Amino acid sequence: MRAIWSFWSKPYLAQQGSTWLSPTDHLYSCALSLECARRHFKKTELYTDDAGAELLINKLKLPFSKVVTSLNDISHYDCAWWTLGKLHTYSKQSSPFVHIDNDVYLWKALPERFMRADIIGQNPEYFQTGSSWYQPEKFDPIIKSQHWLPDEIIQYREQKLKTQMAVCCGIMGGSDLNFIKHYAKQAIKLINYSLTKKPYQPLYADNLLIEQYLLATHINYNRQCKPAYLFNSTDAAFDPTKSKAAGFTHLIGGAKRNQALMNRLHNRLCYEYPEHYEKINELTAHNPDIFQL
Amino acid sequence: MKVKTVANKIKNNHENNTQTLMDKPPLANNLEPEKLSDQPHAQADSIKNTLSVNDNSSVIKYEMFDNMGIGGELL
Repeated sequence: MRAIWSFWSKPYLAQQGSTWLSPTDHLYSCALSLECARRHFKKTELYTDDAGAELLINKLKLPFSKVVTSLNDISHYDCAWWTLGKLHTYSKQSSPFVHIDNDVYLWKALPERFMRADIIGQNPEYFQTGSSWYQPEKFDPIIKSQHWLPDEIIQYREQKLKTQMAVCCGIMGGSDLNFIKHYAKQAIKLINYSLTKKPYQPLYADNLLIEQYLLATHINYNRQCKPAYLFNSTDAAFDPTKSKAAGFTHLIGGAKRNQALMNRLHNRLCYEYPEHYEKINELTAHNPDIFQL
Repeated sequence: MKVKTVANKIKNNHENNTQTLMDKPPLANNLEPEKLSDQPHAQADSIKNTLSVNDNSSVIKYEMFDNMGIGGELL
């Protein structure tokens, strides 16, 4: 099993790292995410583009065991589709892997059952249509007008389930590469359609719907595919006793702008990996424009 | 493991260092039936556009949760 990360520089640079409290915090997190995983995985791979490789590898010397600049292939895409960097990376895998978001730290090794799982996800997210940030009802007019959609979505929507599901992809991967490639290609096709075909425009930039809801529809459709989740629900993931037992941190959403957490991130990296901490500080101190390449 | 050279192509071309990276793959991809090369160029690079489109959808989703994130106390 390989641990992999993706870093598409285009959306990151467009936001100038603003999803984090400071751009430097993002670099600290990249370093810590890698170093935590290196304790458990021999193979650690980064999928990025030339600008990302310049920053993380050439300048910061982060010790990934392999670097692939495959995300140059998507440089022409609208970076509002930031999840495309992940989806493209999923689609390129040819052996079992787990993709780790750069705001995820594995303090403990993933459970052994993950090493054989068809699909790996962080946790299922259950929700009810109409009262959630997920809006899968966007697919319904497309189905009604008989435009193309993946069979997986059509079947899932036709079930009219009161409780729907998505999959949180802080970690995502698995051993069923045919399944993963198929899912990723369907997602990319939907992204393409949202950019070129009017019926699909409501899907535009709805990154989590396409990445996380679409994955759940594929899991639902392929009943022989057995997913393994680190937590069995969103509530479980946010339960401190369960995250402690799993040895898992995900600075999800607004956590990346929590000053107290960023202080802990600084301290942790400084204490445990001072060489990375110092290199990042040196780089950012002497290159104030580094996030505006 | 093969080692190949990747020229750094930073947008503004201020940098032109040459560094080594490992295992750079072919640029071509095989995303059939949708080939990336057939796709449109960026339509709306502005993040403002992104946020305006998603004000009511998933972009802001996790803001609703405790901002300690998941397992933030382990950090």
